[in-house]
Amino acid sequence: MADDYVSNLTARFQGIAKAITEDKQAKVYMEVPRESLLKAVEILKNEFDGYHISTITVLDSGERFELLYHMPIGPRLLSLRVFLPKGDPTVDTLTGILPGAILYERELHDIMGIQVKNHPDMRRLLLPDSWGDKGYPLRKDWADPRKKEVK
Amino acid sequence: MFEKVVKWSRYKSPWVVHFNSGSCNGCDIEIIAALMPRFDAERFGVLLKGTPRHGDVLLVTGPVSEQMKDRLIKIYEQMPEPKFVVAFGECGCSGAVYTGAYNVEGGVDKVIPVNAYIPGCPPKPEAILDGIVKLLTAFKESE
Amino acid sequence: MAKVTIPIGPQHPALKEPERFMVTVEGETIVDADVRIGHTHRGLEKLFEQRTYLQNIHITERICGICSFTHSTNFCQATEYILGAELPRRGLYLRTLMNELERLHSHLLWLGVAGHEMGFDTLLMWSWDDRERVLDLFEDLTGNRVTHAYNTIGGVRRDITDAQVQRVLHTMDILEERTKAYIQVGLNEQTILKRTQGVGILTTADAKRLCAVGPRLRASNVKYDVRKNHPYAAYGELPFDVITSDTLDVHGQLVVRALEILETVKMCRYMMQNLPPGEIRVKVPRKVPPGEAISRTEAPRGEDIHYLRSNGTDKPERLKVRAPTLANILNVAHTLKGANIADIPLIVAGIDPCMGCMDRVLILDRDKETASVMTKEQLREYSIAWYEKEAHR
Repeated sequence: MADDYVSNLTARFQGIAKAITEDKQAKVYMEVPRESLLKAVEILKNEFDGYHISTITVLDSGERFELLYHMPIGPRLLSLRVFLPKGDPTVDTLTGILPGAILYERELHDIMGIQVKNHPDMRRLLLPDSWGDKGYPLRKDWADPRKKEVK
Repeated sequence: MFEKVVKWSRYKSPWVVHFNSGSCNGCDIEIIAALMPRFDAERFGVLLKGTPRHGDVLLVTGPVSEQMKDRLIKIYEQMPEPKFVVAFGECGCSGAVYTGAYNVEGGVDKVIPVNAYIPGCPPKPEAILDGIVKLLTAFKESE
Repeated sequence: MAKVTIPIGPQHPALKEPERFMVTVEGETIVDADVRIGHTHRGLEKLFEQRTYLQNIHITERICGICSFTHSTNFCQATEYILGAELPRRGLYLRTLMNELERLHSHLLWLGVAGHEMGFDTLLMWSWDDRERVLDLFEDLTGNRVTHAYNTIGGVRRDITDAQVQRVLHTMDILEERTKAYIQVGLNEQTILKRTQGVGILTTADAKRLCAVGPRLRASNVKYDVRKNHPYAAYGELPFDVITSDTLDVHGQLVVRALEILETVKMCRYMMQNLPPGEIRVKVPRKVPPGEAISRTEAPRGEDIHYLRSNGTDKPERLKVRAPTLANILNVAHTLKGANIADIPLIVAGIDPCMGCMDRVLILDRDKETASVMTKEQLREYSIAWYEKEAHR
């Protein structure tokens, strides 16, 4: 059954996913274009019993941002991979389908400056209100504006 | 005369206010462990009190996160003189492993004056008891 | 009761500092709740990128002092996955043993904290005394009570002697007996029942919808445990049951944690009686080739997930950590709605929060148009007094 896992996904997400890979620990990665994210999550929820989102990882990959939505699907962990251009770091909110994503999306904005469209409650999550406009700390080009760090 | 009574009662039973400035909780649970039967800090008359307005000793854990900095200063200002500040644990002393992180000050003495440092990650309850005895001795000797 | 929106402007003294918990009440009933976090945000994820893998083991251990071993396990596992390192079975068993001992100390800690919130300080004294036995084992096996420096990339750093194995088994016997006594107390003691039964009910549907984790999830009758559903370390070989409760309330969480202690005792016994011989670690290179990996564990509080991206150097490109408590914030805010003010301490304690103390609660009273702040201690005393006045629930 586990052997059919990737082939089942490949068949269902034909035309939606750009690539589906698995690693040696049987973790599956499915790359989808930004426009297809909501559709992919809807299918995972309605047809694959995907109700849990563990978290959303965001990386500054230099030329672009990379988002990973980690969801346990069946016996494995599936991660949806979405790339965002640096000049337009926007993505749709998942909260209409997966309410549990609400805090993780706030974090994306707080530390990396990703704009999550139609998010119901975009407040700071981790950084203090006094942070002001000191920038997005997890970006690779961000430098701590305070005195040099003590090594 | 009244001064001597007040000093004697402070020596016998220091009221300790505990403040977590963003620690991982490792130090905080060892402080509570020090009050449990195995170590029993209460036999030294140490009482953990919630309100700074009645506190003698401010026991601070954590490297002072940006969010907690102002609250720490406020609590320190609310405490009546004479007051003693103890930086508890490596983080309180110097920021420890978090030194260099963007959201920490890196040690309690970067924010308020500190009278005593108890190192350790976390310090064992025996270190707390040792610290208390030293503090009580300092009270007694501060004539 | 009429619902009225009160404009409490920024000049209101109670709002000068953002509180962690803000509840809006009508009389004694909470109609809205908001939880703020970030007080222990230190900026670790940025720091991870500036430290070597070996240094990062020590930092991940200190993400949380209570679930410290699970975080270092996750980090080491993720790195080992990218390296393709095959750990020897003995190393996996010892790592698993530490994870389970941590669950023991954490659940006993929780039992004491919950007891304290209810005014049941005897339970606090007893359970924390038992917890000291686990900390003694930690000190015996690793050299330290709280943070252990036991994990390394490729395995564990210290082996276990036969004498230590016997001490572990002996402690398990004692804890099993004590926990069975706690279970009796938990099922029969009126104070506990009054404060926890029917309190903080989270339906199965809501638990799944809000992505709950850990004992909170399992007390809402969802049979999910990372150790069983996605085994890691040695869990694939260990006999144990996943504990659930169908009462959906704080009492259910108490029962789940207490029974999980018994399952942990079972696992530790099995591991000590079937400890494989051999090495405890494999050597790994200092630089990690480019790649990515995800590691998940079942921390005492629930699912803990680490995502690691490597770039061929001795420092990670990115390490993302989502600790379990964050996943339970949503359901706490949800279950506070409709509850009494006096239930706040137990509902919050129910998820076993790992975010520093909840030191103050801001209470906005809609009818009286007031805002007041209660400290944790005041709220605790308020709740105990309120329940003592209540003849029945």
